[in-house]
Amino acid sequence: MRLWPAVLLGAALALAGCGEKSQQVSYSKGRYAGKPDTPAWTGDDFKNGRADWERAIKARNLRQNEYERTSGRGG
Amino acid sequence: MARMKFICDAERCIECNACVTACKNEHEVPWGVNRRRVVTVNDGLPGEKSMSVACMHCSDAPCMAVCPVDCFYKTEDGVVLHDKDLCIGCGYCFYACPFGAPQFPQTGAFGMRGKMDKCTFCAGGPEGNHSEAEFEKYGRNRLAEGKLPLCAEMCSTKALLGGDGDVLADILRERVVVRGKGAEVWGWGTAYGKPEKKAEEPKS
Repeated sequence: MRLWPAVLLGAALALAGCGEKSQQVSYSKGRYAGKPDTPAWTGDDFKNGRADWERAIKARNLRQNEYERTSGRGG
Repeated sequence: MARMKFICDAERCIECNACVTACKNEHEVPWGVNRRRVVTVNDGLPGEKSMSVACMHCSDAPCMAVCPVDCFYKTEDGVVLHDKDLCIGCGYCFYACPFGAPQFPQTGAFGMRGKMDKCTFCAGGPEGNHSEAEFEKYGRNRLAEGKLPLCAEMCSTKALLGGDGDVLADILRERVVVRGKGAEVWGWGTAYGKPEKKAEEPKS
């Protein structure tokens, strides 16, 4: 009975090696080797609505033109 | 499909450094790292020009070409980003970049190089949008909120513009047509108005 904790500890230590993640990067010359990115429109704000996101960005883009804002030609 | 670019109108930039401050504050950039800075040419002389400079998100980015671990990538909107988990801080990108955009944190007493840090066009990086890891490594992701980079959006004189290159080109073209160019846009006449009538000739 007294051996059980030692056996369990030994087993846990032996299995710990199995959980080790490989830190080797799969390298392919000239190609991005990092993690994939999530596009801007996939977040909570736009919920995959790419067209909505593009519209929002375009609207903010155009608002940088103060001739549009002051003359009342645009938003 | 937008191609995200910055453009700085040297005729409008007043060297207030608000873009630099906004960037540092928004992304909580560490001490010694300047993702954006203002460069002034002929400082103190008549006709001096200032430009706000950061990563220009090049279409054919030299940093991407020289990176030995290929940690750079380009989003569908043309924003050049990098994976800090892969970066080894070698500094090749710094030597390759014509704008001096890549920055290296001075974490040690001897200026030890850390992971490279640069302007992200407020687009975060290769972590989940709005995740804690993304903010810690790359800063805030304004693009995922449908907003443009803060430096450009808060520029008081609208010298710095950011967004789709085609739209920016249209804005700048209209400006140049309205205000003129070259010597027409600075000088006594522009600052104080042109005289309405010609001064009388002194009588002899």
